[in-house]
Formats: sequence, C-alpha cells, structure tokens
Amino acid sequence: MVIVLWAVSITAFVIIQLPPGDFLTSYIMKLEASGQIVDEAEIAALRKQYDLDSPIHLQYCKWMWKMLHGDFGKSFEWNRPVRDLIAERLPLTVTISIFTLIFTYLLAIPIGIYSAARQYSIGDYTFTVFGFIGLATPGFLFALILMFFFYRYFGISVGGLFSPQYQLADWSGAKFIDLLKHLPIPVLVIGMAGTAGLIRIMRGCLLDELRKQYVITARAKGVSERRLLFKYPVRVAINPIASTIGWLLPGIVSGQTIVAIVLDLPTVGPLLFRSLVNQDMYLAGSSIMILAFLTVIGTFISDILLVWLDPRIRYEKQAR
Amino acid sequence: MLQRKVVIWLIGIVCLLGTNPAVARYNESHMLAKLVKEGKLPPVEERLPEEPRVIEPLEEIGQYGGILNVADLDPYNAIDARSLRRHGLFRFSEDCTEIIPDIAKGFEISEDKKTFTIHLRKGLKWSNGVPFTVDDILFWWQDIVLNKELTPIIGRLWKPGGELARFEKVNNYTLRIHFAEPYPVVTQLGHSFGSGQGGLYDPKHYLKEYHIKYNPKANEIAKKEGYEYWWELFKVVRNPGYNQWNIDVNLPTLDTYVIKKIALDYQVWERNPYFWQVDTVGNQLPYIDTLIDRLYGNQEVLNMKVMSGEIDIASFSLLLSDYPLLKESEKRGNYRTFMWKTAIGAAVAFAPNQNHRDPVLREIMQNIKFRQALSLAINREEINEIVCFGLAIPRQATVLPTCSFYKEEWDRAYAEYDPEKANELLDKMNLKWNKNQSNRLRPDGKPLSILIEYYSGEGPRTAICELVEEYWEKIGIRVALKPEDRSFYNQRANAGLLDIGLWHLDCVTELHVYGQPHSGKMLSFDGGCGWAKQWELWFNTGGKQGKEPPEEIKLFYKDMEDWSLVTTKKEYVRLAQKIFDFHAKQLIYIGTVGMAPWPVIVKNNLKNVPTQGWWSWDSNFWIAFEPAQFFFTQ
Repeated sequence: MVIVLWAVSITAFVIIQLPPGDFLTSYIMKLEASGQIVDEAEIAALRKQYDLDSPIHLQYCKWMWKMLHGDFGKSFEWNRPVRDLIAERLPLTVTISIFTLIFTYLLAIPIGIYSAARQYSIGDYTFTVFGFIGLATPGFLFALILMFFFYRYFGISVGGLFSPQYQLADWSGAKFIDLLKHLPIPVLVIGMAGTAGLIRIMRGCLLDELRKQYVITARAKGVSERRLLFKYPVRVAINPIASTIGWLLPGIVSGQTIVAIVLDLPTVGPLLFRSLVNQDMYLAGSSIMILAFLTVIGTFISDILLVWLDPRIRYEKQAR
Repeated sequence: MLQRKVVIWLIGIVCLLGTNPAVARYNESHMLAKLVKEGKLPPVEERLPEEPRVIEPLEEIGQYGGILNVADLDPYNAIDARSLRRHGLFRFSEDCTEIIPDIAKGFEISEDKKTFTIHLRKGLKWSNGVPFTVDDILFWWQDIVLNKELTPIIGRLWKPGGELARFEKVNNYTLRIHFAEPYPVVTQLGHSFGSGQGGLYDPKHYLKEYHIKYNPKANEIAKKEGYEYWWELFKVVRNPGYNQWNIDVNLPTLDTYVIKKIALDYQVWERNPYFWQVDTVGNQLPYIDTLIDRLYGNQEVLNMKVMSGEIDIASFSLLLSDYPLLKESEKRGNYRTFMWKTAIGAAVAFAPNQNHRDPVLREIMQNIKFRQALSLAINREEINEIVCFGLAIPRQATVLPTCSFYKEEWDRAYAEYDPEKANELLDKMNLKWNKNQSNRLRPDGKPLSILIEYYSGEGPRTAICELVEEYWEKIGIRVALKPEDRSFYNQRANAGLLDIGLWHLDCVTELHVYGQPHSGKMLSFDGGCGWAKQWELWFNTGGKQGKEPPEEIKLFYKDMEDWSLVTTKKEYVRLAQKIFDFHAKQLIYIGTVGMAPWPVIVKNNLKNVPTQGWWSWDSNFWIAFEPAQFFFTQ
C-alpha cells in the first residue's frame, strides 16, 4: 500500500509538471489579460520566490517531506494552506455524495431485483429503457437540461447549494432546510448514471444466479419465492457492488467534478480542476494524493467487505 | 415633486456657500450615523478631508442603503467587483483623453515633462482613520520599490533613460517626482490601478509592522505565520487585491469598500467610513452600503444567476454572444441590458510575420501588395453581421476616433471588400494559380498556404478566423486554423514561429497609445503577434543581434522615439500622424471589426448608471463612471 501511494505521488507530481509553464506562467498571463504589464525581471524574481527555479526532484522531495509532517503546503492561487481549502469544501462534498449514494442504492438495488425476478415484464422493459437512457446521457448534459428546465418553468436558478440570503448566513435550521431544497438536482444528476449502471449489474448478476441449479432445487423443494430470492441469489449478486464500494470513497471527495462545475457546486472537484488548470502545484498535488489515498483505503475496505459477505472467499483462503 | 424642490433648494444653498468646506454640512449613511451615535466613529465632518472630491450624480441625488450583488468568474480577474470599489490618485476620463484627479487633489506636469507634481487632499484618511500623506507614497517608493528583497529589479516604468526617478517631498501634501528625461509615461500614472494602492502608495502605518527596516522582529512574525522571510509575509499582507481572494482582511484602504469577510465562493465588502467623496449636496458617498462579490464556477451558471435577477450589475463576465439570451430574460430578471462600446481597435488584428524563417514566405509577407490583398479580401460587413449582430464597426486596424490626432482615412485604408482587386494584386506579385484553379502557387512552385495559429479565448476569435479562412481561400490562399492554449500561442509568437499572428488590438486610446512607448500594441514589433521579432532584436541590441530592418522601418522606429520626447502639441500631432499614416499604408496589422459592443446589465432599481459608455481596460471599466454614486431606489 505504501509503495502504491509512493508511486502515485511521483506520478501525480510529474503529471502536474508536464504541461509547459508553471503556476507563474498562468499567473502572469492573467495579469496581462487584465492589462497589467509584467516585466521580465519581475517574473524572474517571482519565480525565485515561489521556489520554481529549483530542479523538479528537489521540489518533489520538499513537498513529500512537508506532507509526511501533515503540511500539505500552501496554494499559490488562494494563498491559504491547502488543508484549510479542502476542509472548507469537504463537508458539503461528503453530504452530497452520501445523499447520492443512498439515493443510488435505494433505487437501484430494489429495481435490479425486481427486473431480474420479473424478467421481460412490462416493468422490466420500462426500467430497462430508463436505465439505458440514464447510462447514455452524459451527466453534464442532463445537468444543463435540468438547469434550463427549472429556470424556464419554475423561475429557479439552479446552481450552487444555497439561496443568496443563506449563503452568507451561519448554520441554522433554516439554512439546512434551504440546503435540502437545493440538494435534489445535484443528487439526481450525479446519481443518475450510477443508478442506471447499478440496475443493469444487479439485474444481470441476479439472472445468472437464478438459473443456477441450487435455485431450481430449492424451488422444487417448495421454498417460497421470496425466501428463495433473498436467501442466496441476492447475496451473491450483490458481490460486484460490494467490490466497487472502494471506488466510491474517492468519488465522495472529488464529487463528480464535471457535474459539479456545470452546476457550480461548492465541492472539492471544481477546486481540484481549477488548481490543475492554473498549475497550482501544491493544491493539485495534495488533492490528488488525498484521492489516491482514499482509493487505496477504499479498495482495502471493499476487500474486507467481500470476505465478510461471501464465505467462499474466506474458505478459499483457509483451504490454502 | 416636493423632493425635487428640496433638492434644487439644497443645490442652491451649496452654490451660495460656494466651496468653503468649513461651512458645508455633510450627511452620512444611517449605518454610519448609528456608529457615530454609539461613539464608535467620529462625526462625518472629521472623517472627510478638508476638500472632499465632489461628484455630480448622473441623474439624481441618491438614497443610502442596499446591497450590491456582483458576480465574477476568476479571483484574478474579479474586474467587476474590483473596478466598482477601487480608486487611484488619478483616473482617466472615459475616452482616455484626460487625467482626472481622484484621491489626489491635483497634479502638474512641468513644461519639459521631467517633473510631475502631485497635490494630496489635506485631512484625507485611511479606512481606519489614520491620515493619508506623502509619506505613504514615499514608503511605497523607498521601502518597497527600492528594497532589494521586495523588488529585486525595478521595472522600466521608473527608469526612463536608465536612470531612476527621484521622489521629493515638498510637504505632507505635495510630492514631486523628477525624471532624467522628458517622459511621456507620466501620463500612464493616470491609470487608476497604476496610481492606486500597491501601484503608487501603500499604508505605511500598517505595513511597517511587517517591514524589517521598521521592525527588527519582522522575520519572527513571518516565521510565526509560516513563512521563511519577512518579505514573503509582507507581500501577502500588502496585496491590494490583484487576486481579490488573497486580500488581508485588516489592510487599510482608501477605496470605496472595505473587506469584511472572505469565503471560497463569496466576499462581503462594507462601506469605507472615511471615504473621501461627497455628492453635490454634501452626502458622503457611496450611497450603497454593502458589496457582495460571488465567484461562480462557469459562464452558464453566472448567466443563469443574472437572468434570474440575483445579480445587480454585471459586465466583465458577460459575452456578446449571450446578448439575445440576456435581453430575452430582462423582464423576469428585472434588469436593463445596455450595449456599450469597447475601446478595441480590432476584435482580431492579423499581423503577417515579416521575419518568417521560410525565405520564400518571408518575401511574400514583406510585400506590401500581399498584405493589401489580404485586407481587401476580408468582408468586414459580413463579419460584423454574423459575429457582432451588426453592432461593431468594420474598420482597418488603427487608433480610435477619440484620439486628437485621428484621421478618418486610417479607418478606411484597404478596408473595403474587393476580392477582385485583391486577386489583381496577387496576380501582379506573380503568384500563379495551379492547374485546376483551386490554389495559388509560391514562386518555388509549392502551394501558397498559411497556418493561422491563435489563442481561442478573449473575444470571438474562432468565429472571425473561420470567416477569414473562407475569404482568403477565395483568393487562392490555402488556410488552416489551429486554436491553441494561451501560453503555447504566446511562446510560439514570442519565438517568431507563426505564419501570421493575431491578437485583439487594444491600447489604442490616446493616453494609452502615447503612454506606453514600444509596449502599446501598435507601437511595438510584437503586439501579441510577433510580426518582426528579428528586427525587434536588432533594435534592442543596438544592431548586434537579429536582422537589420529596411530603411523605412528604421525611420518608423525613429519617429516613435521622437514622438515620446516631443514637447509641443503641434509636434505631437505631426509625429503621431506620421506614425499612423505609415501603419495605414503598410498594413502591419490587418483589422477586421472594431469597437464591438459589450453587454452590460443593470438592475431596474439601480440608478445613476449611464446607458451608453466605453467598456474598456483603458479607462478601467466601472471606475470611469463613478460607481460610488450608483444607488438603489428604496
């Protein structure tokens, strides 16, 4: 795990350094875009001060050393510690992601089971059609359509998570309710593709299971249909879902970047995107590291979950 | 009706009292009056300078109160919020022909253009009540500009002829700046960002805490804040808002609003209690109490917020192409949409690379007939209709008509649409067509083709380039378009690797053309296009490197140098006309459409905002329209 993280850290750092120029280049372009004249000499001085002159491997070592001490460095652009920036965005990101997750599971698993148990029924076809539409529609497009729809017919400007009067207010009951009002659209958009995908996976796996001999035997012995369905096949069919839970963890933090940008959600995703565009080295690097760390942790969790859910994996290990 | 009578009456009183400030009575916002009553703030008479700047409201005397909601897309380019609140010692008039004292009371430029005298307002105070004097300017000069750690190398603005400017304090309110040479750049000080906080003055009383010269413990303070050296922290504390999200909440200012709160996606600004402007009846400005700037992640969301009426005033972040959308939602969003003019000579100006590394292409590009043909082949009326809703002005790349030395013929030089004449010119150059009449051939027999590399942001570049591609293919030139990232494009342009460079032609208003010798677009060998990098190098190195330019270019360069040193108005106009005559004849830049309109939206209840104006960097966006006198009808 440590080796993986170390490899990721190097890759992340190299990728951030790859495009021509650095944070200062884009900084200067911006100054010039707003009409300020920046002298060559001033640029050289700034470069020295931002420590962008030293060779890449030294910059990398410095960054790693600081990170090992819990210091993620300072964002050039916001001039604040990376830790603070991520902390400011994290709570809302996690909120959205968890709501999305609940939404996805609550919808997808029952529908998947229904579709498999009643294969080729009208209900199954309907869900299949919606499922494919959901899978095929890019999230950002769906977001744009919803934005237009809500603006046109309800006069609501979608975007952000709070109404203007609550954005500045401290946390209160009213602010929370305002947040709940704004949540459905992002949750719907972000959850859509996942739900559709999950329905298909659930349906497919369950269908495989239902055709197996133990199910037929059980049915022949007169086990009730409901008990038959939930006792074993569903448990087995849920396996692939459990094994991908690990991927959800980084998703919770990065929070569907494209959709978040389109809907202007105050989550970590757009922050990471901005930092990559501006080559805000430490912010981008640290965000990527945090994401990588969460992926590794997530994979670990899903492994444990699998062992717990599926006795076969457990026994296999013992047999060896 | 009654109110108007009262207003007229009040104006009468003010006129009677004349300009004697001791007698004038001032009014203030309820918000501040409350603080005065509570004893937290001195009365308004003590907060204002002896002679506050008097602003004549555009339409009517305003009412106090309200929150101004503003939207921006980028913390570095939070231009709407920045230009609604910032000030300089001076500012340019809207058309950039005049310098208007703003924070300063006045200025004089000596006849030999070597001395610049600045008069400050007596009794003017920082937002925390500390007096603002010449010392704040000297602090900026001596302890920041002349400090090796803060400013390792001093920009050329302050070193005309290689010699540093000399600052002389006459008294607390008078300052003289001496230059070694007659120096037109003094006019550039008129720009309000240049003469604003961080550009010409800084709050000495606040910043000296962080400066090693005044506080030997400055390094320790910096270490405590997580920096290695004092100057690192100093720079952070001093930032007057180039990146508006980096601002120090305690930094005193002379601007209209003072920062109160910064979050990642919004900022709250409150009125500066010591603000030094009043209206004609003695109301301390600004009328509006609070300014909130929100940072949106993308254009669509920002448009949506504007259209649903959540934003009170917006311009910088809007696009001309969204104009129909914005106009359509006027009623629902309860706002007005204006079309202002931009001070841009050409939305896109093409500059054929006359120092091209391919000798055949170089010879073609240097041929004046070729550039004339390129220009004649462009259908500017059509570009105007398709890209700018017919609201821009089809014209050649040249200065704006507001310049005192402007000639109308520059606008029209080879700007008519005449593909036949263009073909004739190319025929005369002996660029023959190939067998199936689809493409012209270069003298070496290869097909004549041009690659247009361009940066796709800032204005409708792609739309214009696609049309121009069509026009030029009609006269037998094969054209390929290649949109590029900004930094990549700039690198290529700087290295002189483009076939034909293109940029928008800005800095074409009077004081900007003149104030920035060799850096204003039309007076440089680069102009964002890199059209003559080898000649530029030759001039810059005194002939040691680069390629020697032809005689006429040498003369052109000399004229530009002479122009920056003239002392009489007559000479000034004569040389300027000589320079831009040369441009009109040579077509170094080939223009398309200029002075394109720019959408501005203003909430219906927001008053004193002009319906027509110049939207430009040159006059600093909102600053030219005195935003402190904008107000909400309550």
